[in-house]
Amino acid sequence: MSGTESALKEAPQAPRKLLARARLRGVDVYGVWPVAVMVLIVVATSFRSDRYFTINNFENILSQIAPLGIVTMGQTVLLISAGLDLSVGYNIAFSSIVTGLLLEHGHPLLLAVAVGIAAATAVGFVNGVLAAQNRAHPFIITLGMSIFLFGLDTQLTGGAPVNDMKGLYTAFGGYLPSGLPFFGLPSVVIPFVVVLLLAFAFLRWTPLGRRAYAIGGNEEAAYLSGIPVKRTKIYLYTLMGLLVGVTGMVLAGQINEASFNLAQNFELESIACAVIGGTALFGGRGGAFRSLQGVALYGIVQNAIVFAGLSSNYQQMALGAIIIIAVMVTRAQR
Amino acid sequence: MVSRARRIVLAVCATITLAAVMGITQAPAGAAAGKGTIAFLLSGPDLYYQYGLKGAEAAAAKLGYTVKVYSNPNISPSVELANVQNAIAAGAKAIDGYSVGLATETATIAAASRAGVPIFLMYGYSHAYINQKGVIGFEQVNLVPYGVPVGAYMKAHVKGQVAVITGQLGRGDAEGYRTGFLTGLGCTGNVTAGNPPLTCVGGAIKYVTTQTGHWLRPAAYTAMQNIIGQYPNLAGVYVENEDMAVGAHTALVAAHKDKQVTIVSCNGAPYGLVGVKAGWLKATDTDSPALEGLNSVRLIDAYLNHKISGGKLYYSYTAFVTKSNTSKAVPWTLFNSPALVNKYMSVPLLTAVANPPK
Repeated sequence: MSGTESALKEAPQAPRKLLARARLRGVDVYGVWPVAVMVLIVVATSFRSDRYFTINNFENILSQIAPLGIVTMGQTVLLISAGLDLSVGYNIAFSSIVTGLLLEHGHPLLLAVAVGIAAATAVGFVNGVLAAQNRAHPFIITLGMSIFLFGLDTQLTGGAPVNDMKGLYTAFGGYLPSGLPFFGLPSVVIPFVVVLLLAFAFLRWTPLGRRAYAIGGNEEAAYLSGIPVKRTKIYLYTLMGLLVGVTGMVLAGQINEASFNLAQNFELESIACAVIGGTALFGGRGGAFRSLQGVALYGIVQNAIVFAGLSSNYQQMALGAIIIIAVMVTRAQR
Repeated sequence: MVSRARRIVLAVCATITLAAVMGITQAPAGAAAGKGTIAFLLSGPDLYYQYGLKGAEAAAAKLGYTVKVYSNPNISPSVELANVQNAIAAGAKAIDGYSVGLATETATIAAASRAGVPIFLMYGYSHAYINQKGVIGFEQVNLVPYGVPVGAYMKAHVKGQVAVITGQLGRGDAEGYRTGFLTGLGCTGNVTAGNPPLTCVGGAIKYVTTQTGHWLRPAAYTAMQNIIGQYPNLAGVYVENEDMAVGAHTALVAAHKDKQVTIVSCNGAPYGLVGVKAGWLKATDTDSPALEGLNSVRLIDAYLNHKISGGKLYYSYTAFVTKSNTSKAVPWTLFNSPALVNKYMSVPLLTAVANPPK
């Protein structure tokens, strides 16, 4: 019996519930709507521009979504646990600035990178402690941290960017060798793929990942069942800080810059991408590959608008519409 | 573990709070300076505004004023109004700086006018405000002519497809620069609207697209990637500030197109001039925020001493530079050089535009 047939058999249920469980040949329609929209956009844009459907263009999209994708994986984990982090934008900037300033003063690359990532991880740890210890929503805690970091970033740089990320630019500013096994992909794709796979494995197979789902589903029940809720939150926010640090290195290397506005809006974009992919805003549901769909759709829309010859104002309109649709779909799913 | 972590966080928070309190309670340097305080509205942390402030501080130190900064890091209209009210309450002799936008200026100027505190703004000129009570004037680059020499350079050196990466459209400055560029490029059609495609120089150049880089380097990187994907034979790009130009150049290097695409820009930022000297940025029209800040305080001082009348528009000094004449650009960091500060303090005051454009 197909999923659609079983759904139809539940006649007494409200039509919305029927729709919510609708499946097409065993495929969860709600789960793949971003893919369907992506296919539509790709096909439509291919008709408008003969340069759209090219390897080169898809490499561009990959390189554009990679840094946002890394931080979206961290945001996904937090959202699943009913948390979120609004400080990621300025924390990414913070880690890049720390690394950039160390490089500017002649410190070795590895040390600079390690300190930069450690700085962002420390911020994540502080976020975690504050979120675990307070009854205040992480929204306000991480918003406060974001404002603090904004001031710190500006103070550290005086508004002036660090313009040469040296070895980081060499690592992430270009492309991998053509041919097997990298096919000349942008080098930023490597950390993204690694983080994606690790996030998937983390959520699926590690106790900490399963605890994130449990806490997001029902924090009180999780506590009563013996899950160390506070400690888990600290771990998750610290992990987020680590991923933010990695994003800082990747993005600063790609753009060859460290500045306070390096990752402007990443906090909201990463939440939007996770939600578009089907991660619930209030916890308990989501996954790494779902968020990948969100990130990919986000990147494809931004890119397609250019190839469709439309003003970039349409990018914002299209992305806004997609986020609204995503929220509606998520609600229907529930 | 949790309690130990909590103690660490509390200790860190306490230290930061203590440091902040100590900073607040320290008297600002030069607080007792003679001629009074000029309140400076600092809208956002961008380098341009920071250096404008430093230029103003350099002039104020020479003229005997204290500059008190009212920062507005998130570019919030309500914070700006609160800043103006606070500056008035604190007894500022005059208000200087940057408003967050045209719409906000109404309330800002009205508040200053009501209190009888003269106000001078850099950028955001509108004919609607120029004759209001207490408005000393506005200073900014002449938007459209600022883009013209850059377009003329492109016209002389490039054939084929040309694109534009703008700042955020909607405030007038990004549109003005683009109009000037397209005029200099010799485009026919509605260069004010700036909608591509337009044919230029009798068909030798085609203006193919405009994308926004939001004034930011990472966004310009993405915009450049997309443009070069859509127009692989692109010959030139005008990028409306050098921060974005660096991002566009980085994207072109990654795509191995940096030798093919001529980049021109504007601003004269330190990293922009480095790019001109290095050769990847072929030309740029420059102005110095530090000089603008310095001139703003000189004009305020002249107004307070009844040497000039209010209600005037002043155009900033600009210099179009290529690799051969980068020394024409006034340094953004002139405040670091006492000799340069003395030089620009002693040149004649800016002359007001006779009939400010409507």
